[in-house]
Amino acid sequence: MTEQDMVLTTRIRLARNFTSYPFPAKMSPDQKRALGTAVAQAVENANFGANRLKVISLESLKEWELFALIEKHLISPEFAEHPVGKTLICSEDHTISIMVCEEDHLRIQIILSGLQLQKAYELADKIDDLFESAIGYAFDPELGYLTACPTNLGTGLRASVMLHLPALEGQGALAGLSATISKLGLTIRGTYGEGSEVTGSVYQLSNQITLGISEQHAIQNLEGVVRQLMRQEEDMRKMLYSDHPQQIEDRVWRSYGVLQNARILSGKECDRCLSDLRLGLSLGILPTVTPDTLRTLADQTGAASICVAAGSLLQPEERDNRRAALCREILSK
Amino acid sequence: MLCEKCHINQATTHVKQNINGKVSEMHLCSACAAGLSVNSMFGGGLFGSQASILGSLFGNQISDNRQESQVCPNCGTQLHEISASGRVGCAECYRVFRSYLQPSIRRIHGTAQHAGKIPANKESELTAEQKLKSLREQMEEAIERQDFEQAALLRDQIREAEGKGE
Ligand SMILES: [Zn+2]
Ligand SMILES: [Zn+2]
Repeated sequence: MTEQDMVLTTRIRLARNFTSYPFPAKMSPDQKRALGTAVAQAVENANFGANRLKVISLESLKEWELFALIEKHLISPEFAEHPVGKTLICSEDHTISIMVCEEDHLRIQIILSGLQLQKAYELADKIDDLFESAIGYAFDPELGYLTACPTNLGTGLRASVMLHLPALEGQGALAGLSATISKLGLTIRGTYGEGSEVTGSVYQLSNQITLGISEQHAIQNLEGVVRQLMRQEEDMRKMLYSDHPQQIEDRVWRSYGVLQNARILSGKECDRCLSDLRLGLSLGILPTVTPDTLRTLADQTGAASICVAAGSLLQPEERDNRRAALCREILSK
Repeated sequence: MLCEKCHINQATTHVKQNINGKVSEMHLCSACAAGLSVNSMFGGGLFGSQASILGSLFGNQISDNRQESQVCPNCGTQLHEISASGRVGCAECYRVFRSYLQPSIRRIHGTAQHAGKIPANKESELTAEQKLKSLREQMEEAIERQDFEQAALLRDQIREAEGKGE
């Protein structure tokens, strides 16, 4: 079993503010637009490989386009809530996104697939240096980078890893682990839909403390716990499979059957089936499905992504029909 | 029942969220629930418990000090606004309200001494004394964390800095 079987993505976020304006909650729309322009200029000539940066005025987007950006984790729901004056700068491949005037002047975010904390931090750090030399940050020798919320003071760094933990979740082992995790200065989050299951068994593990700890230590601390969780999840998956091979294979193939044949597919059911497919892939149960296929399915089946593909805001029923058709099409390739 | 987030639409969805094993529940309209379900992992902003925790932390101190009407001259934010929202208005607020904020900052992070990256242009502005102070605190914290490798590294930096000062 590899890292990719358990880690979906790695995210690094840096919160930064400049001295030239008050924090965004106290800025006028014109001030926000002016800052957006200044930030865009600072990265105008920056070169991140083949990765071109686009500048998007949030006001120009339709509601479902905003939702699609949220769905892809390029912006936060809070950022989308009041779009007036706000600017998003993001790379074509979606690894880099810079929110201008979220809670802080800048939220520099890097998303990479798999477990790549160090690489993601290095890229964020490089972008950070660009703004530092071009505009100049609000910084205090004791409190570090000054942020709107004191919970982000210091490094302004939030490092997080999205983990797929179906076996630990299924065995009810996460409740006990979360207490230990919070003692280590980390937070684990999962989301419930309307049922009792966390959506697709995906959990986000992130650092909590930003002051008094260096970036490197925060990252190493997080990576250490991620690796422990991965080891436990792997052991649990293997144990479950060797104890109940028939049940696990049935669950995986049944979900495969649903995605291949369903005519109506809700987001929740789709997430659950995708989770089973991921599990199956890691146990060598599904010989024809590749990690790329899973990524394509996950990227395209979100409610907002379906609306963007259709070019209009669809009703839930219509989305469920299209989601089912999309899954059949992707899996028939 | 109205949606607990926007307080505009009728709540139609019951959503549960789990943070560190603690389950919180909300009644939301379908629009807010969609925002939450696509992205509740971004930071749990909807459940904004951090703001209220911070608010109550600041609130306690402020009532002790009865300084609610003190104003930041740079951005106009009043102390009671900070205690209500858990957010400060500008960088200058940290200087103006430092004595009120510092105990809460210590409670959140366990310290009030930065140990990470320093902007290149700020490094030269720090006096030798400030640098030494920061290094010493970082070393003590490293020892507390039992990170002796980092502590030894910092000890060498302190020695070097002390040598320069003489
Ligand atoms: Zn609502
Ligand atoms: Zn202020």
